Amino acid sequence: MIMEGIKIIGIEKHFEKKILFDISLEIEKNKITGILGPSGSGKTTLLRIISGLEIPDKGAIYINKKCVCSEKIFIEPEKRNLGFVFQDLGLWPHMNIKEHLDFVLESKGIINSEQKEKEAVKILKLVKLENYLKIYPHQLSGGEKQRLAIARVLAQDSKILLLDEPFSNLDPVLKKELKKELVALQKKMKLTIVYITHNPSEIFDIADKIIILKDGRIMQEGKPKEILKKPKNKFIKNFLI
Amino acid sequence: MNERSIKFIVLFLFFIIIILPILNLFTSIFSIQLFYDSSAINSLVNSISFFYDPRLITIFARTLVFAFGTAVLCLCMGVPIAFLFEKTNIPGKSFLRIISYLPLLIPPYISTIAWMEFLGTRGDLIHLSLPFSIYNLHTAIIIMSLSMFPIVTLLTSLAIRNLDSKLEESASLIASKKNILSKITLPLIKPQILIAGFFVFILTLSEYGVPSMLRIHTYSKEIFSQFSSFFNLESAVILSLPLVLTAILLITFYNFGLKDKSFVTISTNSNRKTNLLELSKLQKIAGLVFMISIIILAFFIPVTVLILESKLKLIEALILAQNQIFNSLWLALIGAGLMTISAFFIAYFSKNSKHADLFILLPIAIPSSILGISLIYFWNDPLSNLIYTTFIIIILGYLIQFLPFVIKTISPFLSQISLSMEESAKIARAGFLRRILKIELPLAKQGLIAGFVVGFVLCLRELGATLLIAPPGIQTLPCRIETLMHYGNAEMVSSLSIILILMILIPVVMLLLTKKELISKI
Repeated sequence: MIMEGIKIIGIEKHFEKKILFDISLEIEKNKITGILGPSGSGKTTLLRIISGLEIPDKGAIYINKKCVCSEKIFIEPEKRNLGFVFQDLGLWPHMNIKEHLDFVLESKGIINSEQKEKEAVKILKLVKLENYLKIYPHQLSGGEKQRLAIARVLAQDSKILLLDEPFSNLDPVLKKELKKELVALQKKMKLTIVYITHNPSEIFDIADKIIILKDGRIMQEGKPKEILKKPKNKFIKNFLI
Repeated sequence: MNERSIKFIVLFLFFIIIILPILNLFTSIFSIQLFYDSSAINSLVNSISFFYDPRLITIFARTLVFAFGTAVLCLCMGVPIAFLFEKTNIPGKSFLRIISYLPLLIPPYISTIAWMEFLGTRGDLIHLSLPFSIYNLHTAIIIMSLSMFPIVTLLTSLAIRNLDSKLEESASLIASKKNILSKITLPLIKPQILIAGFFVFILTLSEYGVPSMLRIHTYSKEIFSQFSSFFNLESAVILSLPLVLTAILLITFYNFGLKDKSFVTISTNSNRKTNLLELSKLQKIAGLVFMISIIILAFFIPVTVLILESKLKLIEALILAQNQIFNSLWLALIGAGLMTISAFFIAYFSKNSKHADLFILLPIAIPSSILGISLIYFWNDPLSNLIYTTFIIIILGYLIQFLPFVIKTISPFLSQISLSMEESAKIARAGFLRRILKIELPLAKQGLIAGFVVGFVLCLRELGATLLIAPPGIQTLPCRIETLMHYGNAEMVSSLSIILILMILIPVVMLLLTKKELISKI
């Protein structure tokens, strides 16, 4: 049965070598799902396939019961209504914070200046950047840049956020603070979040579900406590230490 | 319009304007005529028998020596200068770096005119009598090298600067700076040095102006004569074959063998100030003498000779050639504008293609006179009179010759734009044109400006193809200079050459003054 949230069925992908092998999984609506795995395990490729930035060789993807990718169907990324925070954030260096949000709001069809301003301030308040409208990315600190990247996807009004190692370059204190904010935001806005990382400590305390990948295959999936309690094999046990 | 339709239009136009005239010329000569016209077989057999002509074999060998000699001499001058700039503490290098690129702005045929006035039979004011003639292959190689060595300096400098400093730093714990330079840096940037030599070789192979003025019979000159003097199209095209095949072979080698061997990466760990070799006083003096002598020979002597020979009759020259100057300016502006726009889209769409270079670089393999002939052959039709009999044919001549250079100027700027910046816009539901206008174009602005200036400079100095294709009533400044050369008018030729150099220099200086960040990139 096709559920709300994201359902992935039998996804395979290869570039020069095979990256993903018959991946099937379910991502529940309004929950945080962590995809965990060492470098080269295929996490980012999987996220890019969900977003439509990569086309799989095989398999199907359903988002909120709608098929966005199968052998016959391929919905372009801009039509999937997903938010994506890239590892390097992908902020636009020539635009200030207000222009970042304006770009997204205009793409959504909001062209009235007053309405744009109102919307932008509303979103920026959520990430505590409302006083930085005219500031450019290079003038922001590491944490502020992450907040801007999140604000940009929130402006899209998308209820599903894909986060590709979003806090990997931050110090532990800032990481903790931003994670807390992310969870609060998820609860407040009822977001479905897919969070990928190679660092177990980054995700185990906030995720509702964990999926562990290795060499393009799912090793184990379940609730964080279950996995911690019963790691399926030696690799997972060592990886979680 | 969506991404796919724009991509189709761009690639279709590239094919029609650039590839089709070249393909049409070669296929017409070799297949269609042979198939339908039996007399053409005889003509073709006659033409092919040219290859057994010892005279032609000598000319081809001479052309190869000309190109190879120039490439080697350029490497001998350009690589040490780049190392002095990037890896030593030689004084005054910021200033010297800028002026060492100035020779690139003087068309090689203008340098030849200056050297002929100085040491040859032209000119009367500062003529030096030499016990030997300068009208030989050695002079051609030296003049061509003095014009082209900045290409090697530029590419080698960029390679050294973009080398990940960690590679050298890890060696610095166990080896001396001299050893690092010879065992680590030099081997790592060897592919880039070879690429620089390869570009010089290809460009020299089809050079027409320098050998023609020095009365050296090279292949390009022979092709030009076959077409313009004897109107023998088939012979001209067949004659170009060895040249074209050599160049295509090299481009294929570059695409499959050289391009991917690069160890140079765009790194945030700049190594400009690390691992600098401390030169002794004597070494500094030797380095400065080496660099300054080359710059004097390549830029200051030709320019000084031209200024003196012109007797400063610039106003008179301006009045005499005002139409040609005006033509050159507006044609170069239109040509550079169109090239920048099309180069941007071609560079954008070919960003992820591994073998796009084979098509993009194809026109570089064809001598400018053959490119001119291919345009005449393709567009000389009652149906396309609007193109063939107007300035449009000259613009097409610029596009077919120089688009590869503008694409290669813009593409590094595009490839430095992180993929995630465009993908973020895509995810945010921005359409293709909106992404191009709001993200890619502003981020590649510097590249577009640099591409426009490169295109403008190349169009301004173009001679080989315009000589053949310019319709009646439209003459450019280089063509006027070439015509005046035959009348032995040294004063006017020198004055117009100075004007042409100024026309090329002014936009470049303006660009560097307004976009100071570009100075740090060269």
